Amino acid sequence: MINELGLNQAADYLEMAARLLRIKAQLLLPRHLGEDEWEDPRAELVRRLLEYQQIRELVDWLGRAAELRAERYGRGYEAPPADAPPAPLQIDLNDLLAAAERVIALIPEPMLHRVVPRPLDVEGATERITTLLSERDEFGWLDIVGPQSSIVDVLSAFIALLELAKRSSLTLSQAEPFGPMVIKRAAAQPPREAA
Amino acid sequence: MQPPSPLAKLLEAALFAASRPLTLDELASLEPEAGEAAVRAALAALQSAYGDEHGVELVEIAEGWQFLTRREYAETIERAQFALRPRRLSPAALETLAIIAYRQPVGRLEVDEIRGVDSDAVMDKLVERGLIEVVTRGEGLGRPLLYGTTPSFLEILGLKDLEDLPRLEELSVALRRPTPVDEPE
Repeated sequence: MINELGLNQAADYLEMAARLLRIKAQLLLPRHLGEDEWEDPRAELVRRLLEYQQIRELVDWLGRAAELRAERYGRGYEAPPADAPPAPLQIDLNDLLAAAERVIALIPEPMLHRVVPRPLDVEGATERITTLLSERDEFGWLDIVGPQSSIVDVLSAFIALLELAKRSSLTLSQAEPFGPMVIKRAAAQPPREAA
Repeated sequence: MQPPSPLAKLLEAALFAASRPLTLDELASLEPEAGEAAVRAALAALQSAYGDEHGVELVEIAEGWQFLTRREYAETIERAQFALRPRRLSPAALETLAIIAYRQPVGRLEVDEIRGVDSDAVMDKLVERGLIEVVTRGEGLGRPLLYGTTPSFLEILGLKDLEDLPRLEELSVALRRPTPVDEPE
């Protein structure tokens, strides 16, 4: 208990206890009747309590005076001095660790995306399309990629198509928006075998 | 009303320019020829000239003089944030100030004893705010530092001087000789 209160408070407490015990002892001890020297040991205690009560009354008076003064402003506002910096933290290692754990618990589970390399095979698709072009004048999208193609195949085929269209090897057309894509061999271009 | 004297106008200018109360000595030094009595008379003339006619008044405070705004404008001025109310003193600070004001010069030990708690931190803060200061050293063991109040103390309470404090006899709990206590049952 003494450790919790702090030694100063404990000392004050013990001193008061000792004082009260002494007063009690003095009152219990027999004394000669009519003894002039004897002074009631409680008088000192009473005096101190009264003195403190007097101070409390003065505190009220001073507080009111300060309030009244604060209602009048002088020239030139001076900022009041800043409050003293906060006292240094008094924590031990366990407190620190516990606080760190609480902070860590607040961190959200990171969202991990696994990035898988899927090499596009544009060259392969180009070759496939060129083969189709040599065989047929006109064909559809599904002829290139087949019904169950992976996204990599689709992308590769599409890029190859665009590239070939850019080189004017073929033309791309759609009868209507979102309609099936029609791939035609470019008319202007002479057949590859003739080149 | 007769026009203000040149001395009164000079004092008015000085009091306007200063952001703290100016003492009689400081005011008298502006015009060494004038003499203290003339300065006092000029101050009195200024004070009555400001009378009720103006938003500010000349107030005797902290052993000096200062122009202060009238109370009725406090709220409006504060709301407009043209000026800030000084920070309130904590009950512990007021208690310590009361003890020091009445017991000065007084040491830390005596303050602790009257308050019944350790007052070091409160006293340090009051020193820092310039409300109390070391005035002398005591005779006793270790020649302890003895503290007293400063002019700033008077200023924040709006007191002319320490005589403005209530006399201990006027308090409802007047401290007399130790009161006799009844015999124990």
